[in-house]
Amino acid sequence: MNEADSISPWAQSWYRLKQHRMAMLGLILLSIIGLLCLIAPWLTSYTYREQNIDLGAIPPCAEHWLGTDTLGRDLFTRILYGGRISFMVGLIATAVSLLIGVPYGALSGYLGGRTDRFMMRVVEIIYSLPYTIFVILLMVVVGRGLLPLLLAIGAVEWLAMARLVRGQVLAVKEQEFVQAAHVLGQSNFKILSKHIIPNVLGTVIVCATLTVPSVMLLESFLSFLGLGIQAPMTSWGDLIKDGVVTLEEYPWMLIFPSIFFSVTLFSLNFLGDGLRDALDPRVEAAR
Amino acid sequence: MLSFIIKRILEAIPVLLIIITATFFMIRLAPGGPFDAERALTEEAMERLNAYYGLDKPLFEQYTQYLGNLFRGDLGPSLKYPGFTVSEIIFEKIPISMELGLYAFCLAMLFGVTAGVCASLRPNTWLDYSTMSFAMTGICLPSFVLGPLLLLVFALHFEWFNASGWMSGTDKILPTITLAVYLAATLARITRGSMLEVQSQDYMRTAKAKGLPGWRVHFIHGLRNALLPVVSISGPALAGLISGSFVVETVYHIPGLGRFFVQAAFNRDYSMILGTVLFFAVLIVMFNLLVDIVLAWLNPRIKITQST
Amino acid sequence: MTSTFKHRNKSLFLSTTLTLLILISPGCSKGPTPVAQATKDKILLMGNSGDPQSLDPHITAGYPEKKIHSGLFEGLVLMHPEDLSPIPGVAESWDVSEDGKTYTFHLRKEARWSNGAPLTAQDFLFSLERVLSPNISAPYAYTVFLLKNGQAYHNGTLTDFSKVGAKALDEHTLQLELENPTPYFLQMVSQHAWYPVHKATILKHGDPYAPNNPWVRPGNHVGNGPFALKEWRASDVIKIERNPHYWDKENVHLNEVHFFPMDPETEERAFRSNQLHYTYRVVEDKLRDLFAKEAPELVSTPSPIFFHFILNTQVPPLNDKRVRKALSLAINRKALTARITGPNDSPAYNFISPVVSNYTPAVSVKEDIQYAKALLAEAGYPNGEGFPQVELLYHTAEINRKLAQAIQEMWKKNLGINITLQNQEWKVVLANRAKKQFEILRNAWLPRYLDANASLALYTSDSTQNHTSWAHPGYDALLEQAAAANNPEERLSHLQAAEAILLEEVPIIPIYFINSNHFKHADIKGWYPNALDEHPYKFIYLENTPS
Repeated sequence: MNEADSISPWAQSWYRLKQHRMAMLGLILLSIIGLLCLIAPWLTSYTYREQNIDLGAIPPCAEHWLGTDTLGRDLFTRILYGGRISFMVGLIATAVSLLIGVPYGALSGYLGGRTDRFMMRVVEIIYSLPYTIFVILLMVVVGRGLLPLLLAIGAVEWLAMARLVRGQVLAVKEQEFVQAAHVLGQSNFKILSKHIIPNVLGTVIVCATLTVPSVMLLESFLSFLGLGIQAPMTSWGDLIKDGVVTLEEYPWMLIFPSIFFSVTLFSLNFLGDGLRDALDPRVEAAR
Repeated sequence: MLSFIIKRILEAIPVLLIIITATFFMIRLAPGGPFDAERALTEEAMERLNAYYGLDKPLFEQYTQYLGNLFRGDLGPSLKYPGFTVSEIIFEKIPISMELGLYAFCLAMLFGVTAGVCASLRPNTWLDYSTMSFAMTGICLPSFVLGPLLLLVFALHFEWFNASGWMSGTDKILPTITLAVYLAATLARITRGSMLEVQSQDYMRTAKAKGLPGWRVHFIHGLRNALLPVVSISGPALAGLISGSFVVETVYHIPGLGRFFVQAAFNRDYSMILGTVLFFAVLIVMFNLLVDIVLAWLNPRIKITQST
Repeated sequence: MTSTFKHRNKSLFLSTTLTLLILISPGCSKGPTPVAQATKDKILLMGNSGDPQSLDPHITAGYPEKKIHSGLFEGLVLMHPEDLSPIPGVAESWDVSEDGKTYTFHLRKEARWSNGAPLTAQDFLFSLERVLSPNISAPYAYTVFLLKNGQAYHNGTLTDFSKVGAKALDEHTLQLELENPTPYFLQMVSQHAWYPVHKATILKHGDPYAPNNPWVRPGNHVGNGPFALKEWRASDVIKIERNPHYWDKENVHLNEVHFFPMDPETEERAFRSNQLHYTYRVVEDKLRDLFAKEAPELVSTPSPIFFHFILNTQVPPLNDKRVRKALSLAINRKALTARITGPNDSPAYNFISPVVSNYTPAVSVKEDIQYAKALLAEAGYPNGEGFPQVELLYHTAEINRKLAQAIQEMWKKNLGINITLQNQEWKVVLANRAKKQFEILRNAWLPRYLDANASLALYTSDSTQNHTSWAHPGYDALLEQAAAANNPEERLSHLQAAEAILLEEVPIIPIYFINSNHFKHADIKGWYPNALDEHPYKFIYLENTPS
C-alpha cells in the first residue's frame, strides 16, 4: 500500500495481469466457453431436450459434432446448456465463500481469543452436521428451486475458506506492519481491510478457484437428492457422472464434458495465479 | 499450553451436544422413516415397529432417553441391521477407514507439498506450469471418475490388481491413490500460493539480505510459514479421510465407515446416523485442536493461549 | 491401542510395497485368479447388491435377502429350477384333497436343523404362528393368508391359533387347510415367509417377535437349509458353509457361498477381474452393447418384474379416466425397450407378464396416438391446451431418469402436454407415496409366484400396495370370484375380466417387463434360466471351464 505512482493501483494490477501470459490465456478460454454457453440457442439447431431415440449413442459425426447420448440428444448442445448451470453454481459458491468465508475467517483470526474459539466452534458444528439430511430437510421447509439450491451451497461452501483465512490472519496480525497500524491508531476495520486481507489474498484466490470444481460436482449430488436442476436440464457434473458408467462403450459421453470441465478449471486456475501476482502489492510484475 | 488444551476439550462438550441435538431433530423431521420400503407395511405393522424401538414416544422424551444412553456409552441398536448395535458396526469399520485415510493423507502430504514447493521455486516457468497442470488434472478428475478409470486400466487391462476388495497389500494401492489425488492436488496449489506469498515477505528478504544460503531461507523460514494454510486445511481433511469416503469405498468395495455415513442417511437408520455423526464430530474437534497447536508451533508469533 | 501399532507397521509395509510394486509390477507373476481358486475349493462367489435387512426370513422382503435365505433355509417344497415345478423339500411327499383345499405334507424323518436338532411338524406350526402373528411386522405375512383364518389371526380378530388351518397330525405330518383352492399354493409354500425357524434358538436369544432378536447373528443363527451361516461382515461379505446336518447333504456340491454387497458397476468390474462367479445384475446402460456383442457371459431371462407408473386418481386431471388412458396410449413402449432398457425386455401391453403360463390376456393396450389425442380433446384438452401442470415423480436411479425423460418427450410430441419431472431420494419418494402426494409415480413390482393373481391382487381397494386411490367394487368382486372358482377356466375368465377393468380404468400405466440379467461365469454348472430367477444352490456345482 505504499504505491506513490501516478497510475491507480487497479490500473497497475490490470497491467501486470496483461503481462501474465498464462493468465491471459485462461481469461480468453474462460470467456470463450462462457460465451459459447450463453449463446448456445443460436449456436446449435438442437435443444437440450429434443430426442431422436433411434439415433441414441452415436459417436461424433457431421450432424452431431460431439455425438449423442443414449436418448439421442445432441451432446454438444447439452454440454453448452449444462455449462450454464455449472457456471452459475460455480459463481454462487465463489461469491458465498468470498462474502461469508473471508470476513468470517478474518474476523475470527483477528479478534482472537474467546471470539475466535466461539466462531470456529460454529464452523465445526456446521461442518459436522449430516449434509444429506440437511438438504432433504431444506427441500421440505423451503421447497424446491433456486433458493434452496443457493442455501444448500451457501451453507457449506464458506467453511473451508473461513478456516483457511483465519489461520493466515492469526499469523499476519502479529507482523510488524499491523502492529504499526495499531500504534498509529487505525480502526480495526481499516486494519482488517487495508492491511490484513490484502496479505492473505493469495490464499483466498487459490482457495476460491478450488471451490469451483468441488461445487460443480456437489451440484450433481444435490440433483441426486432432488434439489436444483431437474431432468431433462443438465449440468457438467451430471453429464460426467452419466458418462462414467459407459466409459468403455460410449467414451465420448465422458470425454467431451470432461474436456469442457477441465479446460474451465485450468483456465480459472491460471487466471487465479495471475490475479494473485497482479494484486499482490509486493510482487514485481511477473515476467 | 496445557490449560489451553483443557479449555478446548471442555469447550468440545457443548459443541458435541449441539451437534447431536441438531442432528437428532433434523433426522426426525426429514420425510421418510426407517421402515418405509418398496413393499409397504400395513399401518399396524409400522406402528408396532415404531413402538418397539420407542419411536412412538414424544420426540423430546426420545431425545433425553438417547442422551441418557449416550452418556452410558450406548449408541443404541441399528435399525437397518437388526440384531447388531451401532457401536459394534462403527468400531468394526473404523480400523479400515483409518488405515485407508492415513495412507491417503500421507501420500497426499508427500506429493502435494513437494509439488507445491517445487512449483514455487521457479514460478511461471515450465516447471511451475507442468507441476500445476498435473495438480489441476487431479482436481479435474473426481474420484467417481478416477476410480473406475484406474481400475479399467490397471485391474482390467493390465491385470496388475484386483478390481475389488481390501485383503492383500496390493488391494490398497489404487484406493489410496484415488483418495489421495484430490487432497494432493489441493495441497500442491495451496503450498505453491503460500510459498510465493511468503517469499515476498520482509523477513524473507531480510534473511536473504543477511546472506543465508538460498535453500536455508526457503526451507527453514519459507516452508515453515508457508505451511500454515496447509496445516489449516489438513485438520478437516484428515477427519474427512479417516471417516471414510463413500465413493472410494463403493468403487473398490472396501468395508469402511464412509458407506455407513451415506447409507445410514438414506436408510433413515436414526441411531446409525447419530453414531456416525458423533464419531465424525469428535474427529473434527480433535483435529482442529491439533491444527491450532501445530499452527502455534510453526509460527511462534501466533499466541493461541491469549484470551482477550 | 494395539491396533494403532499394527497400523503403523502396516503403513510402513505399504509404503515399501507401494514403491516396490511400481517398480516391478509389469513383471510380477500371479497365482490362480480368485475365481479359479474358488472353483477349485467349491466356493461360489456372488454379487448381492446390498446388505440384507436381516437373516430372519419372516421379517424381510427383499431380493438380496431371498438369495441368502434360500441357502440357509428350506421350505416344505422347492421349485425345480428347470421348470419351476414343485419338488420335495422338507416334505418328502404330499397329498391334496379332492376340493383342492387341504394339503397333507409328509415330512422326512431325517430332516434336521443346522444344530442337529430334529425338524418336526411342530416347528412348522411355530413358524406359521410367528409369521402370522400380529406381534411381528412380517411384510410377507399376506402369503400365509391363504391358510384358513390366516388373515383373521393376523388382524387380531382371531386369537386362537388352533382355529387357523394348520395342524400337526403327528411329529412328521403337517396338514394345511386353505381358505380357497389355490392353484399356486405350492409355489407359495416354497417362499421365505413359509420357511421354518427354530423355536428354541429364537427363544434363547429373546422375544420371538422382537425385530432385533440377535438370533440372526453369526454363531447364533440356526437354519435348516443346505448351508449354515459362517460369517457376516456388514457391507463386506456374508459367507455360508455346508450344513453337516442337512438331509440331502450328499447332493450339495458347493462347500461355501459368499455374498458380496456390491454396486452393479463394482460387481461388473469384480466379475471381469475374475473375483466373482455371478453378478446380481447388469447395468441397464450396457445391455444394448452387450447384446450387440453377443457377450457369452451375459444371461438374460424374461421375468414377471413389472415396471409401471402409478397414477393418483384423485387429483385432476388424472381423476378423468380419459386422460389416464390417453397417457397410456401415447407411449411407444417398443422404442423404450429397444433403445433404453434392454433389447430383450418385453414392452408391457398388459399387467401380467407373458411368462405367466397359465394366463392369456383377453385385451391389451393398443398404442394409438390419434385415439389418445381424441380422448384428451374429449376431456377438455385439445392438443394438450390448458393441461394443468402434472409432475412425474421417480426415485433417483439412472434407468428411471432415462425412461422418465423419454416418456416426457413422447407425451409432449404426441399429445402436446408438458409433464415436469422430479426425482427424489428413495425414502422421500416412499413417504410421498404413502401420503399420496404425487401425480404420476414410477413404481416396480416383483411378483414372487407365477400367477395372474400376484399382480392383480395389488389393486383391490383394500390392498396395502394399491397407492393409486383407485377403488372399483366390480374389480374386487371379480378377484373374489376368481379365488373361489373351482375350475381353471372359470378362474381364468374372472381374472381376464378383472384385467380388462384395469386396462379400461388405467389407474396404472404398464411400461415394460424387466428381464433378470446376470453375468455368469462359465464354471457355474447346473444353473437353469427361469422366470422367477430361482437357483437353488443344491443344483449348482462348479467345474473349471476354460472360456
